[in-house]
Amino acid sequence: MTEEAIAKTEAPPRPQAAPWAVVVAIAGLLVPGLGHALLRMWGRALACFLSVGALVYAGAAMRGNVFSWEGADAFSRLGFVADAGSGVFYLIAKSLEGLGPDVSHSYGDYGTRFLATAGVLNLLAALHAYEAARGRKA
Amino acid sequence: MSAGLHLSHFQALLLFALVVSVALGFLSRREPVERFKYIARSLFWFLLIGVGIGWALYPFSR
Repeated sequence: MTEEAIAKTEAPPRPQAAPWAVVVAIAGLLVPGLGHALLRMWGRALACFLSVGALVYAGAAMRGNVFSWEGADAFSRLGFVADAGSGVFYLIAKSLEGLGPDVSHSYGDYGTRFLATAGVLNLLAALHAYEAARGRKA
Repeated sequence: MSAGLHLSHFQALLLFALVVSVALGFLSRREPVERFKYIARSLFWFLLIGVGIGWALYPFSR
Protein backbone atom coordinates (compact mmCIF):
# COMPACT_ATOMS: atom_id res chain seq x y z
CA MET A 1 0.00 0.00 0.00
CA THR A 2 1.30 3.47 -0.85
CA GLU A 3 2.11 6.14 1.71
CA GLU A 4 -0.85 8.20 0.46
CA ALA A 5 -3.26 5.34 1.00
CA ILE A 6 -1.92 4.70 4.51
CA ALA A 7 -2.30 8.40 5.34
CA LYS A 8 -5.96 8.22 4.30
CA THR A 9 -6.76 5.38 6.71
CA GLU A 10 -5.50 6.96 9.91
CA ALA A 11 -2.84 9.63 9.99
CA PRO A 12 -0.13 9.20 12.64
CA PRO A 13 -0.34 12.01 15.18
CA ARG A 14 2.37 14.61 15.40
CA PRO A 15 4.65 14.32 18.45
CA GLN A 16 3.12 16.20 21.39
CA ALA A 17 4.60 17.64 24.56
CA ALA A 18 4.85 15.34 27.58
CA PRO A 19 2.10 17.06 29.65
CA TRP A 20 -0.40 16.69 26.82
CA ALA A 21 0.58 13.03 26.41
CA VAL A 22 -0.08 12.49 30.13
CA VAL A 23 -3.50 14.14 29.76
CA VAL A 24 -4.23 11.82 26.82
CA ALA A 25 -3.19 8.76 28.85
CA ILE A 26 -5.29 9.76 31.87
CA ALA A 27 -8.30 10.50 29.64
CA GLY A 28 -7.90 7.07 28.06
CA LEU A 29 -7.70 5.46 31.48
CA LEU A 30 -10.85 7.17 32.73
CA VAL A 31 -12.95 6.66 29.59
CA PRO A 32 -11.84 3.84 27.27
CA GLY A 33 -11.05 5.25 23.83
CA LEU A 34 -11.03 8.90 24.89
CA GLY A 35 -7.23 9.10 24.72
CA HIS A 36 -7.24 8.00 21.09
CA ALA A 37 -10.23 10.24 20.35
CA LEU A 38 -8.23 13.25 21.58
CA LEU A 39 -5.55 12.25 19.06
CA ARG A 40 -8.25 11.96 16.36
CA MET A 41 -7.56 8.24 15.96
CA TRP A 42 -11.25 7.49 15.60
CA GLY A 43 -11.06 3.83 14.60
CA ARG A 44 -8.91 2.93 17.59
CA ALA A 45 -11.04 5.05 19.91
CA LEU A 46 -14.20 3.26 18.84
CA ALA A 47 -12.54 -0.16 18.97
CA CYS A 48 -11.25 0.46 22.51
CA PHE A 49 -14.58 1.78 23.73
CA LEU A 50 -16.61 -1.07 22.25
CA SER A 51 -14.15 -3.82 23.21
CA VAL A 52 -13.77 -2.75 26.82
CA GLY A 53 -17.51 -2.03 27.05
CA ALA A 54 -18.43 -5.45 25.62
CA LEU A 55 -16.08 -7.28 28.00
CA VAL A 56 -17.34 -5.37 31.04
CA TYR A 57 -20.99 -5.86 30.07
CA ALA A 58 -20.49 -9.58 29.41
CA GLY A 59 -18.45 -9.99 32.61
CA ALA A 60 -21.08 -8.27 34.74
CA ALA A 61 -23.93 -10.12 33.01
CA MET A 62 -22.15 -13.42 33.69
CA ARG A 63 -22.05 -12.41 37.36
CA GLY A 64 -18.30 -12.14 37.54
CA ASN A 65 -16.59 -10.84 40.65
CA VAL A 66 -16.07 -7.05 40.56
CA PHE A 67 -13.28 -6.58 43.09
CA SER A 68 -13.42 -3.63 45.46
CA TRP A 69 -10.44 -1.72 46.84
CA GLU A 70 -11.05 -3.20 50.29
CA GLY A 71 -9.54 -6.51 49.24
CA ALA A 72 -8.73 -8.95 52.03
CA ASP A 73 -5.69 -10.44 50.32
CA ALA A 74 -3.12 -9.65 47.64
CA PHE A 75 -5.11 -11.49 44.98
CA SER A 76 -8.19 -9.35 45.63
CA ARG A 77 -6.16 -6.15 45.52
CA LEU A 78 -4.54 -7.26 42.27
CA GLY A 79 -8.02 -8.05 40.93
CA PHE A 80 -9.14 -4.55 41.89
CA VAL A 81 -6.20 -2.99 40.01
CA ALA A 82 -7.11 -5.02 36.92
CA ASP A 83 -10.84 -4.23 37.19
CA ALA A 84 -10.30 -0.52 37.92
CA GLY A 85 -8.26 -0.25 34.72
CA SER A 86 -11.51 -0.06 32.78
CA GLY A 87 -12.19 3.43 34.23
CA VAL A 88 -15.82 4.51 34.26
CA PHE A 89 -16.85 1.04 33.11
CA TYR A 90 -15.69 -0.25 36.49
CA LEU A 91 -18.32 1.94 38.15
CA ILE A 92 -20.93 0.75 35.65
CA ALA A 93 -20.01 -2.88 36.36
CA LYS A 94 -20.37 -2.16 40.09
CA SER A 95 -23.84 -0.73 39.53
CA LEU A 96 -24.85 -3.64 37.27
CA GLU A 97 -24.03 -6.42 39.73
CA GLY A 98 -27.39 -6.31 41.46
CA LEU A 99 -27.29 -9.90 42.69
CA GLY A 100 -23.57 -9.94 43.44
CA PRO A 101 -20.99 -12.30 41.99
CA ASP A 102 -21.68 -15.98 41.49
CA VAL A 103 -18.47 -17.85 40.79
CA SER A 104 -19.98 -21.20 41.73
CA HIS A 105 -20.73 -21.66 38.01
CA SER A 106 -18.25 -21.61 35.16
CA TYR A 107 -19.85 -18.53 33.58
CA GLY A 108 -19.38 -16.54 36.78
CA ASP A 109 -15.72 -17.47 36.84
CA TYR A 110 -15.39 -16.51 33.17
CA GLY A 111 -17.12 -13.23 33.96
CA THR A 112 -14.43 -12.42 36.53
CA ARG A 113 -11.77 -12.97 33.86
CA PHE A 114 -13.70 -10.86 31.34
CA LEU A 115 -13.81 -7.94 33.77
CA ALA A 116 -10.09 -8.20 34.52
CA THR A 117 -9.27 -8.48 30.83
CA ALA A 118 -11.30 -5.35 30.09
CA GLY A 119 -9.25 -3.39 32.63
CA VAL A 120 -5.89 -4.68 31.43
CA LEU A 121 -6.88 -4.07 27.80
CA ASN A 122 -7.75 -0.46 28.66
CA LEU A 123 -4.43 -0.02 30.48
CA LEU A 124 -2.71 -1.22 27.30
CA ALA A 125 -4.82 1.15 25.18
CA ALA A 126 -4.02 4.12 27.45
CA LEU A 127 -0.31 3.29 27.22
CA HIS A 128 -0.64 3.08 23.43
CA ALA A 129 -2.37 6.48 23.37
CA TYR A 130 0.45 7.96 25.48
CA GLU A 131 3.10 6.55 23.16
CA ALA A 132 1.17 7.77 20.11
CA ALA A 133 0.91 11.25 21.62
CA ARG A 134 4.68 11.27 22.11
CA GLY A 135 5.09 10.26 18.46
CA ARG A 136 6.59 6.88 19.29
CA LYS A 137 3.66 4.82 17.95
CA ALA A 138 1.76 5.24 14.71
CA MET B 1 -29.02 -7.76 34.73
CA SER B 2 -30.92 -10.19 36.91
CA ALA B 3 -31.46 -12.69 34.05
CA GLY B 4 -27.75 -13.12 33.56
CA LEU B 5 -25.72 -14.30 30.63
CA HIS B 6 -25.12 -18.06 30.72
CA LEU B 7 -22.55 -18.90 28.10
CA SER B 8 -21.07 -22.32 27.45
CA HIS B 9 -17.30 -22.82 27.63
CA PHE B 10 -16.93 -22.51 23.86
CA GLN B 11 -19.23 -19.48 23.58
CA ALA B 12 -17.22 -17.71 26.28
CA LEU B 13 -13.97 -18.60 24.50
CA LEU B 14 -15.37 -17.34 21.19
CA LEU B 15 -16.59 -14.04 22.66
CA PHE B 16 -13.31 -13.46 24.52
CA ALA B 17 -11.17 -14.34 21.48
CA LEU B 18 -13.20 -12.14 19.14
CA VAL B 19 -13.24 -9.04 21.34
CA VAL B 20 -9.57 -9.24 22.32
CA SER B 21 -8.49 -9.95 18.74
CA VAL B 22 -10.40 -6.92 17.44
CA ALA B 23 -8.96 -4.65 20.15
CA LEU B 24 -5.38 -5.82 19.62
CA GLY B 25 -5.79 -5.67 15.84
CA PHE B 26 -6.91 -2.05 15.95
CA LEU B 27 -4.16 -1.08 18.40
CA SER B 28 -1.27 -2.80 16.69
CA ARG B 29 -2.04 -2.25 13.00
CA ARG B 30 -2.88 0.95 11.14
CA GLU B 31 -3.86 -0.29 7.70
CA PRO B 32 -7.38 -1.84 7.36
CA VAL B 33 -6.22 -4.89 5.41
CA GLU B 34 -3.41 -5.53 7.87
CA ARG B 35 -5.86 -5.14 10.75
CA PHE B 36 -8.23 -7.69 9.22
CA LYS B 37 -5.37 -10.16 8.68
CA TYR B 38 -4.14 -9.67 12.25
CA ILE B 39 -7.65 -10.13 13.69
CA ALA B 40 -8.29 -13.28 11.64
CA ARG B 41 -4.89 -14.77 12.55
CA SER B 42 -5.24 -13.89 16.24
CA LEU B 43 -8.78 -15.30 16.40
CA PHE B 44 -7.65 -18.52 14.73
CA TRP B 45 -4.77 -19.04 17.19
CA PHE B 46 -6.93 -18.15 20.21
CA LEU B 47 -9.50 -20.77 19.20
CA LEU B 48 -6.97 -23.42 18.18
CA ILE B 49 -4.92 -23.11 21.37
CA GLY B 50 -8.02 -22.85 23.57
CA VAL B 51 -9.66 -25.95 22.11
CA GLY B 52 -6.27 -27.71 22.05
CA ILE B 53 -5.67 -27.08 25.76
CA GLY B 54 -9.25 -28.22 26.44
CA TRP B 55 -8.64 -31.53 24.72
CA ALA B 56 -5.18 -31.89 26.34
CA LEU B 57 -6.82 -31.62 29.78
CA TYR B 58 -9.66 -34.01 28.89
CA PRO B 59 -7.94 -37.16 30.32
CA PHE B 60 -7.59 -35.43 33.71
CA SER B 61 -11.24 -34.35 33.94
CA ARG B 62 -12.53 -37.70 35.19
